[in-house]
Amino acid sequence: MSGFFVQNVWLIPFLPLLGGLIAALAARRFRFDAAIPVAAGVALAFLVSLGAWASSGAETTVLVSKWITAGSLVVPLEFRVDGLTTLMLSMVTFVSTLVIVFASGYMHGDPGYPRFFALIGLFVFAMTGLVLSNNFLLTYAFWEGVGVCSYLLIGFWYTKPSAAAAAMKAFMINRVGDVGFALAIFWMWTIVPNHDLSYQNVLAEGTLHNFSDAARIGIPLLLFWAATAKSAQVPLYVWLPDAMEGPTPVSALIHAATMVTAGVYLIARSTPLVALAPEVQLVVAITGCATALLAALIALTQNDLKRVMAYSTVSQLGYMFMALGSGVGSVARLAMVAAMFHLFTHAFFKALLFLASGSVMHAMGDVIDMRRFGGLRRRLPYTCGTFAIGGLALAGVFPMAGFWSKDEILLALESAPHAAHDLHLTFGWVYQVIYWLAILTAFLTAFYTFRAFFMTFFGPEKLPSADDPEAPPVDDHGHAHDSHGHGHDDAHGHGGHHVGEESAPIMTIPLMILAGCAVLVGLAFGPTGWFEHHLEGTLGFEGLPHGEHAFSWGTALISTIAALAGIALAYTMYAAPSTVPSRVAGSIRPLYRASLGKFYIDEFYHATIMKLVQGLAAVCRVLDVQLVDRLVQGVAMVPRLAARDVLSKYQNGLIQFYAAASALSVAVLLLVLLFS
Amino acid sequence: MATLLAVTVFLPLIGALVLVLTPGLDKASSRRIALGASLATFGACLVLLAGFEPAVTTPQFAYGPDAGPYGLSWLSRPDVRFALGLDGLSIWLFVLTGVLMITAVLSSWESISDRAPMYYAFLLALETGLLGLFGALDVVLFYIFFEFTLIPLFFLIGLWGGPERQRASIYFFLYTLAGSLLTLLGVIALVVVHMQYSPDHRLTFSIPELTRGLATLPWPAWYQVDSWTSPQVFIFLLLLAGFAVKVPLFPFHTWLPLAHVEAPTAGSIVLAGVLLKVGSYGLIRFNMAMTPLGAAALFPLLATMAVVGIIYGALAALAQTDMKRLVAYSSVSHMGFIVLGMLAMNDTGMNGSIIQMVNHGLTTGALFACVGVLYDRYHTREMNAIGGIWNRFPLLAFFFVFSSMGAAALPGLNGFVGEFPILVGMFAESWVAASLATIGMILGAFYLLLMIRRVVFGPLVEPGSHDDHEGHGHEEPRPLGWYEIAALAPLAALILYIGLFPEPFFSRIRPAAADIVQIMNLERDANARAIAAKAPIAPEPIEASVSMRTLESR
Repeated sequence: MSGFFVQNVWLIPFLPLLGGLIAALAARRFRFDAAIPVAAGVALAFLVSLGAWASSGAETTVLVSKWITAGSLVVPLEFRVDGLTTLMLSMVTFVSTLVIVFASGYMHGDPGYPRFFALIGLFVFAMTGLVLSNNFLLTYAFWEGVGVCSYLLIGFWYTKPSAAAAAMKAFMINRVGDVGFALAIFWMWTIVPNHDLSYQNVLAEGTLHNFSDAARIGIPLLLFWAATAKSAQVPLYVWLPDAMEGPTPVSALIHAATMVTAGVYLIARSTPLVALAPEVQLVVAITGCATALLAALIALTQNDLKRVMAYSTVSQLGYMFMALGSGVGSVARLAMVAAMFHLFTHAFFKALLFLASGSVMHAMGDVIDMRRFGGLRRRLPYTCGTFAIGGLALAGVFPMAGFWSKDEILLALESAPHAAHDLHLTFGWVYQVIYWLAILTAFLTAFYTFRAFFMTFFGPEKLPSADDPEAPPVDDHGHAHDSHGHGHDDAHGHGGHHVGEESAPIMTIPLMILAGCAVLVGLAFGPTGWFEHHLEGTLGFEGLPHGEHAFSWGTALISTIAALAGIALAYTMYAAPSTVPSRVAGSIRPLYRASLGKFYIDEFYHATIMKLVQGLAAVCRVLDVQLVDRLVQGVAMVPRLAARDVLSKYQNGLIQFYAAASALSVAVLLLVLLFS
Repeated sequence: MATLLAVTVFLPLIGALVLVLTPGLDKASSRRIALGASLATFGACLVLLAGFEPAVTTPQFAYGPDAGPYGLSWLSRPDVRFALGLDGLSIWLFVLTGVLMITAVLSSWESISDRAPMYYAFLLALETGLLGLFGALDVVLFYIFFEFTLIPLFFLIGLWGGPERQRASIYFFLYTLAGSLLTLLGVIALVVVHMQYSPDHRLTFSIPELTRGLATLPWPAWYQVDSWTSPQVFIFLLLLAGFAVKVPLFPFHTWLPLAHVEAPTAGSIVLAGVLLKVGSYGLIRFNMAMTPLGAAALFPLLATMAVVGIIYGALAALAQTDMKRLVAYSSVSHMGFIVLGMLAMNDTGMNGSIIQMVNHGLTTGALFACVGVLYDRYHTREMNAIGGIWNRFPLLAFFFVFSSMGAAALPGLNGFVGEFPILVGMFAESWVAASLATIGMILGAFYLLLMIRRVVFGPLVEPGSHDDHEGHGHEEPRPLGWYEIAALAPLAALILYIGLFPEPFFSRIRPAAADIVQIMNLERDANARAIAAKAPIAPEPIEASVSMRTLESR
């Protein structure tokens, strides 16, 4: 029976795709709920994933069909079912199912309802395909596939210019990352035996040991370049916060739980390759640390609840890369497990936090600015409770999911300097610094999460009104008609739903299930060793060096103190209305403004890279007409000018001239003949 | 089947003659005749495709024995033959012509009312020229069809084009003619060299014979082999002149934006979809297969031209506000990829290059058709004047986004299965060129998405919706007609099909590509040995059975 699931693992991407197709083609005509086929497809895919989970091994591959055979570039549609794959599959399909159920309530009445679920089905197809594929190029194909789903879903409310801009930004920045991935594949293809890009060939020990030094460092660096775009790391993270223009379930599913973790997955998948390049690991760790800290600092001051969560996602992804980067020498195995564990737990509690934010937004009638509402804990009891659990998990408080995974990352970082020392690497001290910065980030994380929580649910009750100073100016222009009904997040028909009421059970039940996961998955998988045991059945995992790393009480204690301190500070500042926040902000005005302005990274990119490209484009446009075309026309003028100005003079009709010319020519010819 | 091939080539011409000779045809009946003729031609193309043996590398559907001489004697002395046949290199371009011509007819359905019989007659005559060109097995026949295609397109642009149509058509005509005359010289040089130095001094104009015969000549014996003074370099450059203009390779591309902007929609579809492929087809057929040493010696120059074309074309496209101009410049960029693929001179790049010709024809054809639909309604192609058409034409928005994604080489759609092998193949030959070309991947997505964002996304903007003068209020543009959907839907279907199931395409392309690459490698190996020996040596004679797998030997 279990072999059945492995052999038919293609059902996992196919069923959601089928659901999506049904939703796209038939839902409107036959008047059924477009969410049903997609939800059914994804839920069935989840069951298949569980079946495959139970029976996978490191070397299980399933050839589905041919795809590309262009000369020596052969890319079969082949799936790999191992520990890492089944882990990701189960997580992706489980979270997707809950998000789809939530969205069927959240998106109710939207004119694009069938399109939404069709795209979600397509996304789950691409995402599961990404983690299943047993070939770097096939992974790349799905990698771009999830990107395009993300593009179409960010731009879901397409009439909204900001959504169109955000969608394009996301696609473009991801394209920049894709180029890194593509270059890595070109390089691999050129040097691996038989031009075979399958994982078991590229990541085989024999292949890796034949890599030149340039390839050993270059290829993982290029892969990491790709990961920085997809997983929103410095310097390519800027698209993710803007991606919040999409519907909130999309943010929860794609931009928190699944797609953005693809970069982490890719690096984890390539661990045998990355582990051979400590220099690259250091780059990964530093980038992850910088991202985690920067995003946490920005999240401190944002007023948009979804944006706080977006920056928090960026920051947590940075955490995962810190872990991956710390895998020097004997820590390699621990680091990979820690990163994947955090990816796993984060998917649950971050999806929960996003959906809870969506529930708040739903109840507040499209308002997401935290300054415009407050004290909602009595009005939205379920949302408040589940948000609190998600927040505690994110902050890493015992015994929530986040505590266990964050602790493992810190443990890996703590062990890295010793491992680096054993390998005679000189940069081991950097990991020490990163360790303390990670603790600082943990403190900041707890603070901003509970700042958002207290601002939203505590204090005196306040509902948004049009008179709020922060309310956007009322747009009484002509466009209002066009965009009515789908121009704004949550401005869709509420069907008797009033502002300020708790969401319907179809939305709160997924929240409660996710909250249960946020409490339990850490405890169930972490200390029991179940998680690591499952990952043992992963390609190349056996060969990873590993030492003994005991649970460190010291680290656990420090991180718990940091988390509790962050929560306590947030409580004193935001639980009741006070002037403390504004006084603090006033005293460090430049820092506060920089954080609020997201350190002006977007503006910087706009002023440099975008201006450069636009300038070059304008130059090319002018050059084409004024130079290249002129040159061509100039060349074309040569015969005409030659005829008119030079040759025509000699065709003057004077017989004497012709005779003289003839005689002269004959004379010259004779001379030449005589003297040569 | 040989007869069917000849009939297929001339079927559109018969349709054209019917259109011209029947008196008093109106718009409705002439377009119906044109559609019928192009559908019949396409049907014949499909029959040929069904009969095509994927693994055979000799020309198929040709008269005469498998080893040649093919075709019927046309001029007996010199032996110019009327020889038609298809191989893995030409079969898909042949079918592509059949497909795109239907799109061209359908996208002219309502927009052409003026002198409709003449218009469709030219369009069909153009199809005969293109089909004949891809089918020709004789260099003279090839050249005749090659030049013949200029005439109908000249009139299509010059009579049914935009405001600057006359300048555009003359510019286009003269530019391509000037280049192709040099190409003719190059072709003659090939024929003469072959006659002079082949063992039996045979004067032949047959393309397969020339290809095989030239490969066995002792090229390295004649000149300093690793320098640009090889005779192949000279011939290569002559041949290049015409094809580089047709492709167009940077910096010979300036006729393209002008011709596209002025051409009617159908003209643009055929021009970008098929006529540019004539250039790249010729490059592979003649330059790569007959003068590979020239290609190898000129590699730095050619790769630079291709890469600069890719980046420059993309940047220029980025700065355009006219949609047609944007798509025209995108063609410069995309054709650069195709040339880059063949320059890799390995089978991966060659496969990618050949399939990418088909892919580019489909996506660009679809994009031009989309722009044409908008132009028919709004009489402008300015992106600043049109916006948010998604709500107005949801189906058109779908086609627009879909073909853009195909052009941006998104995996699962057709552009990817061509572009990726091209870059992979190129990376193995020159990682610098391939890495630089990837910038084109980024910019390519940039200008396409920018167009999508301006035209498809955002609030609805229509020209004329603000100045409702003369009292006749705001007129709703008509929704998509069946003919417009029928023009776009097959292209979209093919874009998806090639992306998901490229194997039927590659299985027919692979043997042909392998054959050409084998010839190139033979000559390059001999050359390399000559360089290593510091003395020119003759190549080893190639065995006919290696490069020719015939129907019998299968």
